Amino acid sequence: MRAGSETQKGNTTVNLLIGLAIVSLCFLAVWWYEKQAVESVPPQFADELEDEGSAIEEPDAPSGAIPEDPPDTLPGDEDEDIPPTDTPLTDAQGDVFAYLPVGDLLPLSGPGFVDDTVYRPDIVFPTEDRVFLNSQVYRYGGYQGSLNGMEGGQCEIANYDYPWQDTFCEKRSRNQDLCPGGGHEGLDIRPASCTKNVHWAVAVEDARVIDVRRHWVTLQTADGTIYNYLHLNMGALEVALGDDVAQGQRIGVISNDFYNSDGSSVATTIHLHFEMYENYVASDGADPLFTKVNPYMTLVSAYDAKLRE
Amino acid sequence: MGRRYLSLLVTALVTAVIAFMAHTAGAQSDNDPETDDSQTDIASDARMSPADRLLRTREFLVERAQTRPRLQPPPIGRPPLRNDRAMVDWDDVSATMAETRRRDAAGANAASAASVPRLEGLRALAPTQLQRVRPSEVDAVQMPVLVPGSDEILASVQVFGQADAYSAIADAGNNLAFRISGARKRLVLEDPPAPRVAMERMRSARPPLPGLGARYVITRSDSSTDLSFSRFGCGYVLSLMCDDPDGDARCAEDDFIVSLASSMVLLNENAGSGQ
Repeated sequence: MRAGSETQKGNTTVNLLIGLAIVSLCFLAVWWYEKQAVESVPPQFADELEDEGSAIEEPDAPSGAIPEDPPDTLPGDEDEDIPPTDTPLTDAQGDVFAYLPVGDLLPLSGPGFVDDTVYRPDIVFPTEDRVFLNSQVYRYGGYQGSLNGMEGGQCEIANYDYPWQDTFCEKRSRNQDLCPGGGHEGLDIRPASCTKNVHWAVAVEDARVIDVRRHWVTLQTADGTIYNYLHLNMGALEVALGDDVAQGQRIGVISNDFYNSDGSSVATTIHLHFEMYENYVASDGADPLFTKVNPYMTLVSAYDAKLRE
Repeated sequence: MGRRYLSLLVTALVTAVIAFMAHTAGAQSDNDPETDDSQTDIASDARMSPADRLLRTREFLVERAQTRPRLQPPPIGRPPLRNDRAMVDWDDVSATMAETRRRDAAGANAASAASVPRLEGLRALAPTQLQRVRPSEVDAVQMPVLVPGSDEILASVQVFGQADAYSAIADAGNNLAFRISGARKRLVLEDPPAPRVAMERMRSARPPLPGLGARYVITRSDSSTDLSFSRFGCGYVLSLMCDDPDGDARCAEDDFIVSLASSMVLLNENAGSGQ
């Protein structure tokens, strides 16, 4: 009887220990699964992020999904008693100009490209009105906006606010060596309001109009720098192929024109996509390389100068 | 039996302790705002509610935002050291063309001209032979004006020349837009950013373009496929704009753009005279 009782007690202990081991293994399995989930996301980001849809939402669609919060207080705009020397620079509407560092893209939107070079310190800003540099794809109105909780239409008021944000090497469908996991080699500039065909784009420098096709206008300066303006209203340009343009001269109005070669239209948001090619050498004696460069800090510099006029 | 219990007990306890520590460490990592592990962010993002994602994004923006003081603002970024005007190596231009002529002659001797495919290299072509090119645009340029020798491009090419730069555009047929730009002036960068250094390594790793002998780099974005090379002291970039950059092999793969860059014609052979 005692032997039977001891055997039963022994079995119970074994069962308890086995149970404890199973629970422990479950803990380990959960931990391992989470670890693998993290490690299995490639630098180009998980496929599931690619599959979240590709259609750009209709302009002007109300968001409704996210309750509208009051604008975030940005550094410097919360204290009216600060000394004059510390007053931050504001735009024509009195809003504090704020921007994120170069290469600091939205979470989940790509690797970025940290380049703090101000390639052309003397350009003027490419628009007449105030603008907001931010993503057309990973914010409200973009097909990946949900990744950052920004579900809604492109006209969401939060899209029209500082701080600016870099979008060079933002992730697109294309992977390439310059932007691993990226593919957007320009900056997206949102005009002052969500109305197309009213906000002017202007020539950043004296230049020649060397290309006007489909949805782009291209300028080249006398020393070779190239500027691409995409998504202007191509039916109402103020310039023509071969024209010489002066710095600040109107080129066209910002729209959402985006065409295939057969004239069929591709959906996009109302914005100016701005690109810059520069012929540069990394050191004296090196061979030059004529490529697209990140114009972010060049535009920050130009906007800073514009706000001080 | 007692040893068996003890062994099982120790194993279970050790397993439990390891599991607990691993789980705790994982939880701490997820909650640590200072963690710099973006992949952890990505994985955890999939579990976030839209409201939490938005909150995180807003925090991200506010934490990193910078402003500019109205008075005594510090400099922004880094300007280039200077903008140099390169010396064009016209002797090299002549030598490269002579080499092409030599190879062309050798090819013509080997077979009838009609059966010889166009060879890679650099050949001269007068702008008057091109229907849409104004000679004055080419004459204005004080650097070698190179255009791909493709028949489709030459049939529609237009040139826009300035003293130290030029561009040429063409419709290359079948939903393909083409542009080549050249520049004699170049910015000298101080301590170029790492990605630019990486691009230079990419160029060095490529074999030279057949015919031109220039190393090159190809970059692709959602607006164009670009091939950049330097030759005779100047910088050049060819751009292809396809309707379907991922599906059209001319933009998605290297062969087409490399073949264009390898069959250049020079529109201003005499521009180097007297320089």
